[in-house]
Amino acid sequence: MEYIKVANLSFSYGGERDVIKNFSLEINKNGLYVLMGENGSGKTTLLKILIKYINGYRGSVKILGKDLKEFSLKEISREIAFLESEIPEIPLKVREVLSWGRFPYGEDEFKKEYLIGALNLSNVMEKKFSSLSSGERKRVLLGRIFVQRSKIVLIDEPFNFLDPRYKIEIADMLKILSRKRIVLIATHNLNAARYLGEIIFLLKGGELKGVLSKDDVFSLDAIADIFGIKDSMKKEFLKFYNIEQY
Amino acid sequence: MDSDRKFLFYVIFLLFSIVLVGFWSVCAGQVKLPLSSIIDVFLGKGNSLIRTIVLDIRLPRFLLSASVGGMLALSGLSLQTLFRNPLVDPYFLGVSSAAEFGVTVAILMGVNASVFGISFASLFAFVSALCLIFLLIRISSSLGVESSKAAIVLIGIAISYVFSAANNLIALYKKDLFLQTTFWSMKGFNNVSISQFYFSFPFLVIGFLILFANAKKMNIYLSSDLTAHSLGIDIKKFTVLMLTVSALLTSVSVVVSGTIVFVGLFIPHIGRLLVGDERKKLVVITVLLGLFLLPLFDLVSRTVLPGQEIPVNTIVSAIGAPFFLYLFLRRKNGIH
Repeated sequence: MEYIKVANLSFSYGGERDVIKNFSLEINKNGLYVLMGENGSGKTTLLKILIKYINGYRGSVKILGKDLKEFSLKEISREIAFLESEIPEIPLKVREVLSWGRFPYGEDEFKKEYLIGALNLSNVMEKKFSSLSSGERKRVLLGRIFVQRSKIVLIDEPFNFLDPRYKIEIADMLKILSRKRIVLIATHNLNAARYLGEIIFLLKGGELKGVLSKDDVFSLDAIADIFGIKDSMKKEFLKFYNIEQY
Repeated sequence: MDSDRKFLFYVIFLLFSIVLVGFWSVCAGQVKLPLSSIIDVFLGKGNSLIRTIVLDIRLPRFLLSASVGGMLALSGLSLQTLFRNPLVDPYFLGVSSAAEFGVTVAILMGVNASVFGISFASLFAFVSALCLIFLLIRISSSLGVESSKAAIVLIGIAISYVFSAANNLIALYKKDLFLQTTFWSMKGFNNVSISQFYFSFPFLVIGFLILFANAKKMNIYLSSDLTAHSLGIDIKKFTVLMLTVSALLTSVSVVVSGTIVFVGLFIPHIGRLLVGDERKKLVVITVLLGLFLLPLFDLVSRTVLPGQEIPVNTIVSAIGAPFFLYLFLRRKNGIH
């Protein structure tokens, strides 16, 4: 089944230059997928189109075999869970934030309690979300995604603002999440993309520049092109990321 | 004490306090009445003078000030939620200057009648405020999600300046008119009739029910537009709903009692201090605090000096303004 099928998608904000250009992508089975590109390459815009936050695109988008335009906002929020890159200030208890996973379809207490135990969130349940550290907040927000139980999960920059410890924890949660779901991550974090991505879509200037799978050899030139790295800086680039060769 | 029991305690405490202030308001004043004579009146007994004082003067005054307190408190809460900013108050959108403009026009036109106890001046004020609300909603819904809230603020401020300019211009040529309008906007709870309460109370009930029914959405909305949208909340519809509820409650309260400052700003704050930000509890506590505190302020305003009444705004400001400063400084120091 085609879970996500994007064909010839183009989009511009208010008729200016296209931030998404003739973009196509197809995802057919569970797993971890990565949209990789520099800031401004159109990753976030693409995710916003998929959750109907942005309308007025050209081309076709199908979710679970149905045209995106036929979904109501409520329906799409059931099929697609989304996590933005910002970590919001929410002055409410963790328990409340987790319960949003079942909005607007009613709560599911048993499953929720089970998940809270499994995700090791039970000791923060009664704490205020905004009193937690960034890493803990991200864990709670991902916990909400588990509670949501949607088929498709979109996450924008999951590793921003996180300490190494939490980066690993979040990566681990994402792997578990992707066993039964499609998890599509947008990131400019090269290490995270290589570590997590089973399929990596390379994005530049709103265009799809290539698709890599986990076992492919990454070509230095292709990656350098995605991030706009000049020839003179390629050596430093390899050193910085501590890579022998792609 | 866990938060649910704390909440229940506050609800019971506030309900009790409201009844207490109610009885106290009816007893206290120029003519002090013992509780027994009040009970007599409610049982259909008592002499006609006492009946008039209780049923035509003091009871309507208590009921109206309570319902205005509730309306302003809820109005403030819904705007503070919409802008995710606890320093917003109900007059932020220019509703009061719109209403004043309506009054000015009514007085200019020389209409002096009233329907069902509501004067034409008040009706003009109401219509003028409704026009403002309609304009705000039209403009905000024609804009994109991301720019609409900033636009609402700017338009609200701009329009309120236009209305004040119009008021001032008219005042320049008709000085007595200026005085009349000013008195109207400061009228508070003098010469209250029960019909004003009947007019305003349904709005309070409907406003409360709408906010209570949307409490979960309000919670989710506190995170961010994008997150709320991804959980199925239509941000545009939500914005219009919050705006309409708030502006309507403010307009009605301005129409029946003029501009009452600070209540809509600091009552939701007290509610937050008591039960936190969770909206289901906060909506209930906020409306109860409004029903309790404004009649209390009004009671103070007419009893603190013997034989003389201080405008209720003065009492509210004297208590409200220092409290506002305290909150602001607390916020600046990051102990939010």
